[in-house]
Amino acid sequence: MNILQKIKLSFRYGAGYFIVAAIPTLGALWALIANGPDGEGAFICGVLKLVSIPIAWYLYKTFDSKNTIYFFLNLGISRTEYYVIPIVMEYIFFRILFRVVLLVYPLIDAWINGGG
Amino acid sequence: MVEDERGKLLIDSVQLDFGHNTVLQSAYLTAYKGKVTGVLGRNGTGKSCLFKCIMGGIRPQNKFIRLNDEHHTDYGHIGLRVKYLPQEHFIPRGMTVARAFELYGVDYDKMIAFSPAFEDYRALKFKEISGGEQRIAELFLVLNADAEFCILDEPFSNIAPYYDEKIRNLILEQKATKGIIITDHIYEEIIKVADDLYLLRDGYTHQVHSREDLARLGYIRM
Repeated sequence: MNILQKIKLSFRYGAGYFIVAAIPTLGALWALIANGPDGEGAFICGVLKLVSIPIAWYLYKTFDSKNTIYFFLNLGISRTEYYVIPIVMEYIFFRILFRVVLLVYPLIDAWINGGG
Repeated sequence: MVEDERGKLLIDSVQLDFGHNTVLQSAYLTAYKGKVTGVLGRNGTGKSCLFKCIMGGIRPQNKFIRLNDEHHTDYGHIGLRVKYLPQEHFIPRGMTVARAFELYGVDYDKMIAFSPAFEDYRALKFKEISGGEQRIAELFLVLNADAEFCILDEPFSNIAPYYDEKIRNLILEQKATKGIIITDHIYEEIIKVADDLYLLRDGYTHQVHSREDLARLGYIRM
C-alpha cells in the first residue's frame, strides 16, 4: 500500500478527526478575518489552530472505535501513520483555507468598510 | 531446523504494565509456518494484550519480534505480513462487505462458496448484517488475506455451531501456506487444531504438551 492509498483511506478512518477539528479551524479562520491578517489576527489564528490540534486528536482517539485500528493495521498502515496522516491532511487543508482567506481578505475588507 | 526453513514468528520478552498492574512479563511465543499454535489462558491473563502488542495496537514497555530470523523486522508495518482478528468486530461499520474484501485482496466468490448467504450481502454495509455474519466475514478475510501469519483471537465465539467444523477445516486448509496463532475459551476446539500449545498464566507463558500439563498449571481439572 503506497502513501497515496494510505492518504485516501485516511479520509475514511480519520473522518471523526476532520469533524472534530473543523470547528476550531473555522474559529481560527474567523479570528483571522475579524482581526485582519496583519499582526493580531494571524497570531490569534495560529495560536487557536495549534492549541486545537492536541485537543481534537485527544477527542478523536477517545471516541474512535477501539478495534477499527486493526482493520487498517492489517493493511500495512502503522499505528503512527493511522494517527498522524489525518492530522497532517487536516493541517494542509487548514493552510489552503488560510491562503484563500488571505487572498480574498482585501475584498472582504473593502466590502465591510464599504458597507459600513 | 526444518521448522526454521518454513518460516518463524518469534515473540519474546514482552513486558506490559498498566500502571502498577503487570499484565505480561517476559512473555514469549514461537509460531511456525505450516503449524497452528494455540494460546490458552483464563480471562484477564493477557492473551488479547499479547496479540495487540504484536500488532502494534498496544505499546508495551518492552517487546522483541522477529520474522524468519531476519536481522530487522519492521514492527510498524507488521500488518503486511501478519493479519490479526481481534475479539470484537473490527471492520468499519459503514464499509460495504465487497469493499472490505477488495481492500484485503480476497476473492468474494470464495466467501459465497463458504457461506452462500453472502451472495446477497455484497453491497450491504457491515452494520446491515448480523453480528454472527460480520464475525464470519471478518474471520474469512483474515484467514484468506495474503500473509505469512494469522492471529485469531476467539474465532469460535459468537458464531453458530453450524460453522465450527467449517472454520476448523478452513484453519487447517490455510495452515498449509501460513502460520496460525489461535486462542479461544472453547479450549477443546483449540486442542483439536493446534500443533503447539502455550498457556498464559500470571503474565508468563508456559509451553504445554499434554492435558496433564494444563491440569498441573491449573487451567483445567482432570
